[in-house]
Amino acid sequence: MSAIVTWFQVGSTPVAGTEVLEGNPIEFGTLEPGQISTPDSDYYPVNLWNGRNVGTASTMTSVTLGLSVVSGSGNTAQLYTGTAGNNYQPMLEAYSNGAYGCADDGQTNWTAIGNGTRLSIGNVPTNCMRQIYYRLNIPYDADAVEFVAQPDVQYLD
Amino acid sequence: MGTDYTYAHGLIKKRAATFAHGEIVSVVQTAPLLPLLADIGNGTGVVAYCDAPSGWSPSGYNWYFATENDVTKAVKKNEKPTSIRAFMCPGWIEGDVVYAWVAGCDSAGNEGPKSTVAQDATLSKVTGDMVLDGPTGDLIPAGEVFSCALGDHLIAFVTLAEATIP
Repeated sequence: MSAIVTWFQVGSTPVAGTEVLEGNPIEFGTLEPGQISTPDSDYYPVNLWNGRNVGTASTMTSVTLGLSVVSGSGNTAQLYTGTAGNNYQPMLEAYSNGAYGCADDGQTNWTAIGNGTRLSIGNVPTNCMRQIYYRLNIPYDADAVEFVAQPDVQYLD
Repeated sequence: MGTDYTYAHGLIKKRAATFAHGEIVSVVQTAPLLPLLADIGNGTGVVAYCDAPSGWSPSGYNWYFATENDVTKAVKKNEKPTSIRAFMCPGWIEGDVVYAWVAGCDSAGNEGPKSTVAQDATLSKVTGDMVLDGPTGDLIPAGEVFSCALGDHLIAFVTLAEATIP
Protein backbone atom coordinates (compact mmCIF):
# COMPACT_ATOMS: atom_id res chain seq x y z
CA MET A 1 0.00 0.00 0.00
CA SER A 2 1.18 3.49 -0.75
CA ALA A 3 -0.05 7.07 -0.62
CA ILE A 4 -2.43 8.23 -3.38
CA VAL A 5 -1.85 11.94 -3.92
CA THR A 6 -4.20 14.27 -5.78
CA TRP A 7 -4.55 18.06 -5.92
CA PHE A 8 -7.95 19.73 -6.12
CA GLN A 9 -9.31 23.24 -6.40
CA VAL A 10 -10.70 25.03 -3.39
CA GLY A 11 -14.12 23.81 -2.28
CA SER A 12 -13.44 20.26 -3.36
CA THR A 13 -15.14 17.64 -1.24
CA PRO A 14 -14.47 13.92 -1.03
CA VAL A 15 -17.18 13.37 -3.64
CA ALA A 16 -16.84 16.41 -5.90
CA GLY A 17 -14.42 19.04 -7.10
CA THR A 18 -12.08 19.83 -9.95
CA GLU A 19 -8.61 18.36 -10.01
CA VAL A 20 -5.64 20.63 -10.59
CA LEU A 21 -3.79 19.16 -13.55
CA GLU A 22 -1.46 20.28 -16.30
CA GLY A 23 -4.48 21.36 -18.31
CA ASN A 24 -6.06 23.06 -15.29
CA PRO A 25 -3.11 24.61 -13.48
CA ILE A 26 -3.01 27.05 -10.59
CA GLU A 27 -3.35 30.23 -12.61
CA PHE A 28 -1.31 33.18 -11.40
CA GLY A 29 -2.16 35.31 -14.42
CA THR A 30 0.01 38.21 -15.54
CA LEU A 31 2.39 39.70 -13.01
CA GLU A 32 5.06 42.35 -12.98
CA PRO A 33 8.35 42.53 -11.10
CA GLY A 34 7.70 43.97 -7.68
CA GLN A 35 4.22 42.45 -7.53
CA ILE A 36 2.81 39.86 -5.15
CA SER A 37 0.22 37.63 -6.76
CA THR A 38 -3.38 37.97 -5.70
CA PRO A 39 -4.99 34.66 -4.77
CA ASP A 40 -7.53 33.40 -7.27
CA SER A 41 -10.67 32.15 -5.58
CA ASP A 42 -10.85 29.26 -8.02
CA TYR A 43 -7.52 27.86 -6.94
CA TYR A 44 -6.63 29.13 -3.49
CA PRO A 45 -6.11 27.22 -1.39
CA VAL A 46 -5.18 24.11 -3.32
CA ASN A 47 -6.42 21.00 -1.59
CA LEU A 48 -3.75 18.33 -1.24
CA TRP A 49 -5.45 14.96 -0.81
CA ASN A 50 -4.21 11.52 0.13
CA GLY A 51 -6.41 8.56 -0.75
CA ARG A 52 -9.31 10.81 -1.71
CA ASN A 53 -12.46 8.63 -1.73
CA VAL A 54 -10.25 5.54 -1.50
CA GLY A 55 -9.57 5.27 2.19
CA THR A 56 -6.91 2.64 1.90
CA ALA A 57 -3.82 4.71 1.18
CA SER A 58 -0.76 4.83 3.40
CA THR A 59 -0.35 7.84 5.66
CA MET A 60 2.00 10.42 4.22
CA THR A 61 4.68 11.36 6.76
CA SER A 62 7.69 13.70 6.67
CA VAL A 63 5.70 15.77 4.21
CA THR A 64 7.41 18.76 2.58
CA LEU A 65 6.41 21.19 -0.16
CA GLY A 66 8.79 22.49 -2.78
CA LEU A 67 9.21 23.20 -6.45
CA SER A 68 10.79 20.58 -8.61
CA VAL A 69 10.39 20.93 -12.34
CA VAL A 70 9.53 23.95 -14.43
CA SER A 71 9.61 24.89 -18.07
CA GLY A 72 11.55 27.74 -19.56
CA SER A 73 15.09 28.76 -18.85
CA GLY A 74 17.15 30.89 -16.52
CA ASN A 75 16.55 31.96 -12.96
CA THR A 76 13.02 33.14 -13.53
CA ALA A 77 11.95 29.88 -15.08
CA GLN A 78 13.16 28.22 -11.92
CA LEU A 79 10.99 30.69 -10.02
CA TYR A 80 13.90 32.17 -8.19
CA THR A 81 15.89 35.26 -8.93
CA GLY A 82 19.18 36.87 -8.15
CA THR A 83 22.70 35.66 -7.85
CA ALA A 84 24.77 33.55 -5.54
CA GLY A 85 25.29 36.77 -3.59
CA ASN A 86 21.68 36.88 -2.51
CA ASN A 87 21.24 33.12 -2.43
CA TYR A 88 18.87 32.99 -5.39
CA GLN A 89 15.68 34.12 -3.69
CA PRO A 90 12.70 31.83 -4.43
CA MET A 91 9.59 33.56 -5.80
CA LEU A 92 7.03 30.91 -4.85
CA GLU A 93 5.68 31.02 -1.30
CA ALA A 94 3.32 28.69 0.53
CA TYR A 95 1.73 27.75 3.82
CA SER A 96 -0.64 25.03 5.08
CA ASN A 97 -3.84 26.20 6.74
CA GLY A 98 -7.04 24.21 6.82
CA ALA A 99 -7.53 20.47 6.79
CA TYR A 100 -10.10 17.70 6.35
CA GLY A 101 -9.85 14.56 8.43
CA CYS A 102 -6.67 15.55 10.24
CA ALA A 103 -5.42 18.26 12.57
CA ASP A 104 -4.89 21.60 10.87
CA ASP A 105 -1.28 22.80 10.52
CA GLY A 106 -2.62 26.28 11.11
CA GLN A 107 0.31 27.96 9.40
CA THR A 108 -0.14 31.66 8.68
CA ASN A 109 3.26 32.86 7.52
CA TRP A 110 4.31 32.70 3.90
CA THR A 111 7.44 30.62 3.42
CA ALA A 112 9.49 30.84 0.26
CA ILE A 113 9.95 27.45 -1.37
CA GLY A 114 11.94 26.25 -4.33
CA ASN A 115 15.58 26.13 -5.30
CA GLY A 116 16.17 23.48 -2.63
CA THR A 117 14.17 25.23 0.08
CA ARG A 118 11.15 23.24 1.33
CA LEU A 119 8.25 23.79 3.74
CA SER A 120 7.38 21.04 6.22
CA ILE A 121 3.71 20.31 6.84
CA GLY A 122 1.88 17.72 8.91
CA ASN A 123 1.16 14.08 8.09
CA VAL A 124 -1.69 13.37 5.67
CA PRO A 125 -3.61 10.19 6.59
CA THR A 126 -5.78 8.38 4.08
CA ASN A 127 -8.87 10.20 2.80
CA CYS A 128 -7.58 13.38 4.39
CA MET A 129 -6.74 16.75 2.92
CA ARG A 130 -4.59 19.78 3.69
CA GLN A 131 -5.24 23.19 2.21
CA ILE A 132 -2.09 24.68 0.70
CA TYR A 133 -1.92 28.38 -0.11
CA TYR A 134 0.45 29.47 -2.86
CA ARG A 135 1.46 32.88 -4.05
CA LEU A 136 4.24 34.44 -6.10
CA ASN A 137 6.37 37.24 -4.70
CA ILE A 138 8.09 38.68 -7.76
CA PRO A 139 11.38 40.51 -7.10
CA TYR A 140 11.96 43.68 -9.02
CA ASP A 141 14.85 42.17 -10.94
CA ALA A 142 12.90 39.16 -12.17
CA ASP A 143 13.12 38.42 -15.85
CA ALA A 144 10.09 38.51 -18.13
CA VAL A 145 8.95 34.95 -18.80
CA GLU A 146 5.91 32.76 -19.22
CA PHE A 147 6.27 29.80 -16.93
CA VAL A 148 4.66 26.48 -16.17
CA ALA A 149 5.80 25.45 -12.73
CA GLN A 150 5.35 22.23 -10.81
CA PRO A 151 4.92 22.73 -7.08
CA ASP A 152 5.59 19.35 -5.51
CA VAL A 153 5.05 17.37 -2.35
CA GLN A 154 7.59 14.88 -1.06
CA TYR A 155 6.73 12.35 1.63
CA LEU A 156 7.38 8.98 3.20
CA ASP A 157 4.64 6.34 3.01
CA MET B 1 8.90 7.63 -0.24
CA GLY B 2 7.25 9.51 -3.06
CA THR B 3 6.98 12.77 -4.91
CA ASP B 4 3.88 14.16 -6.56
CA TYR B 5 3.33 17.32 -8.55
CA THR B 6 0.70 19.82 -9.39
CA TYR B 7 0.91 22.58 -11.98
CA ALA B 8 1.00 26.36 -11.93
CA HIS B 9 1.03 28.84 -14.77
CA GLY B 10 1.81 32.51 -15.01
CA LEU B 11 3.34 35.28 -17.07
CA ILE B 12 5.86 37.73 -15.66
CA LYS B 13 6.19 40.93 -17.66
CA LYS B 14 8.68 43.70 -17.25
CA ARG B 15 7.33 46.49 -15.11
CA ALA B 16 6.10 49.55 -16.91
CA ALA B 17 7.98 52.79 -16.31
CA THR B 18 4.89 54.47 -14.91
CA PHE B 19 2.71 53.55 -11.96
CA ALA B 20 -1.01 53.44 -11.68
CA HIS B 21 -2.56 55.89 -9.27
CA GLY B 22 -2.86 54.24 -5.90
CA GLU B 23 -0.43 51.49 -6.70
CA ILE B 24 1.65 50.37 -3.76
CA VAL B 25 5.24 49.71 -4.67
CA SER B 26 7.31 47.91 -2.14
CA VAL B 27 10.12 46.01 -3.79
CA VAL B 28 13.43 47.52 -4.72
CA GLN B 29 15.83 47.26 -7.60
CA THR B 30 19.32 46.12 -6.76
CA ALA B 31 22.46 47.01 -8.69
CA PRO B 32 21.28 50.19 -10.49
CA LEU B 33 20.37 51.58 -7.10
CA LEU B 34 23.92 51.90 -5.89
CA PRO B 35 24.71 55.26 -7.54
CA LEU B 36 21.74 56.73 -5.74
CA LEU B 37 22.90 55.33 -2.46
CA ALA B 38 26.33 56.74 -3.09
CA ASP B 39 24.80 60.18 -3.50
CA ILE B 40 22.80 60.22 -0.34
CA GLY B 41 25.07 58.40 2.02
CA ASN B 42 26.94 55.23 2.63
CA GLY B 43 23.76 53.20 2.62
CA THR B 44 23.68 52.40 6.28
CA GLY B 45 20.25 53.22 7.62
CA VAL B 46 18.71 53.87 4.25
CA VAL B 47 15.21 52.54 4.01
CA ALA B 48 15.19 50.01 1.24
CA TYR B 49 11.45 49.68 1.26
CA CYS B 50 8.46 49.30 3.52
CA ASP B 51 5.51 47.01 3.20
CA ALA B 52 2.68 49.25 4.31
CA PRO B 53 -0.58 47.64 3.25
CA SER B 54 -2.52 50.85 3.81
CA GLY B 55 -2.52 53.99 5.88
CA TRP B 56 0.61 55.74 6.95
CA SER B 57 2.23 54.97 10.26
CA PRO B 58 5.96 54.38 10.74
CA SER B 59 5.26 51.89 13.49
CA GLY B 60 2.40 50.09 11.80
CA TYR B 61 4.34 48.06 9.30
CA ASN B 62 7.76 46.78 8.52
CA TRP B 63 10.67 48.90 7.40
CA TYR B 64 13.50 47.28 5.53
CA PHE B 65 16.89 48.92 5.87
CA ALA B 66 19.74 48.57 3.47
CA THR B 67 23.10 47.83 4.97
CA GLU B 68 26.62 48.04 3.71
CA ASN B 69 25.49 50.03 0.69
CA ASP B 70 23.79 46.93 -0.60
CA VAL B 71 20.03 46.66 -0.59
CA THR B 72 20.22 42.98 -1.31
CA LYS B 73 21.26 42.75 2.32
CA ALA B 74 18.25 44.70 3.52
CA VAL B 75 17.22 43.79 7.02
CA LYS B 76 13.76 44.02 8.48
CA LYS B 77 13.14 46.23 11.47
CA ASN B 78 9.98 47.41 13.14
CA GLU B 79 11.21 50.81 14.14
CA LYS B 80 11.16 54.35 12.95
CA PRO B 81 13.76 55.59 10.52
CA THR B 82 16.29 57.80 12.23
CA SER B 83 17.75 59.68 9.33
CA ILE B 84 16.65 62.04 6.61
CA ARG B 85 17.87 59.38 4.27
CA ALA B 86 14.96 57.31 5.37
CA PHE B 87 12.96 59.40 2.98
CA MET B 88 14.60 57.94 -0.02
CA CYS B 89 13.51 54.48 -0.85
CA PRO B 90 15.96 53.16 -3.39
CA GLY B 91 14.75 52.85 -6.92
CA TRP B 92 16.18 52.30 -10.30
CA ILE B 93 17.67 54.22 -13.21
CA GLU B 94 16.16 54.64 -16.63
CA GLY B 95 18.16 56.84 -18.93
CA ASP B 96 19.03 60.00 -17.05
CA VAL B 97 16.29 59.56 -14.47
CA VAL B 98 16.77 57.90 -11.12
CA TYR B 99 13.50 56.60 -9.73
CA ALA B 100 12.92 56.07 -6.04
CA TRP B 101 10.03 55.74 -3.63
CA VAL B 102 9.35 58.02 -0.76
CA ALA B 103 9.19 56.33 2.61
CA GLY B 104 7.46 59.05 4.51
CA CYS B 105 9.27 59.82 7.74
CA ASP B 106 11.50 62.73 8.61
CA SER B 107 14.69 62.60 10.62
CA ALA B 108 12.71 62.68 13.85
CA GLY B 109 10.58 59.76 12.80
CA ASN B 110 7.48 61.87 12.31
CA GLU B 111 4.81 60.45 10.11
CA GLY B 112 4.09 61.62 6.63
CA PRO B 113 6.20 62.89 3.75
CA LYS B 114 7.13 66.18 5.38
CA SER B 115 9.47 68.75 3.97
CA THR B 116 12.63 67.17 5.25
CA VAL B 117 13.47 65.99 1.77
CA ALA B 118 13.76 69.61 0.71
CA GLN B 119 16.69 70.07 3.04
CA ASP B 120 18.75 68.05 0.65
CA ALA B 121 16.80 68.55 -2.50
CA THR B 122 14.90 71.09 -4.48
CA LEU B 123 11.48 69.61 -4.55
CA SER B 124 9.05 69.93 -7.37
CA LYS B 125 5.98 68.06 -8.39
CA VAL B 126 5.45 66.05 -11.51
CA THR B 127 1.76 65.42 -11.21
CA GLY B 128 -1.09 66.36 -8.94
CA ASP B 129 -1.69 69.61 -7.12
CA MET B 130 -0.38 68.96 -3.62
CA VAL B 131 3.06 69.61 -2.22
CA LEU B 132 5.04 67.47 0.14
CA ASP B 133 5.43 70.19 2.74
CA GLY B 134 1.84 71.34 2.51
CA PRO B 135 -0.44 72.31 5.36
CA THR B 136 -1.25 69.95 8.19
CA GLY B 137 -3.98 67.57 7.18
CA ASP B 138 -3.19 67.75 3.50
CA LEU B 139 -3.82 64.39 1.94
CA ILE B 140 -1.42 62.78 -0.47
CA PRO B 141 -2.89 59.78 -2.27
CA ALA B 142 -1.01 56.57 -2.67
CA GLY B 143 0.79 56.43 -5.97
CA GLU B 144 1.38 60.17 -6.15
CA VAL B 145 4.45 60.89 -8.28
CA PHE B 146 6.96 63.56 -7.28
CA SER B 147 10.35 64.54 -8.51
CA CYS B 148 13.29 66.33 -7.00
CA ALA B 149 16.86 67.17 -7.88
CA LEU B 150 19.47 65.46 -5.78
CA GLY B 151 23.07 66.00 -6.77
CA ASP B 152 23.32 65.38 -10.47
CA HIS B 153 20.24 63.20 -10.50
CA LEU B 154 16.62 63.92 -11.11
CA ILE B 155 14.70 61.65 -8.80
CA ALA B 156 11.10 60.71 -9.23
CA PHE B 157 9.37 58.86 -6.48
CA VAL B 158 5.95 57.51 -5.67
CA THR B 159 4.15 57.53 -2.36
CA LEU B 160 3.71 54.02 -1.04
CA ALA B 161 0.42 54.65 0.66
CA GLU B 162 -2.07 57.38 1.30
CA ALA B 163 -0.52 59.97 3.57
CA THR B 164 -1.75 62.90 5.58
CA ILE B 165 0.79 65.60 6.34
CA PRO B 166 0.94 65.78 10.13
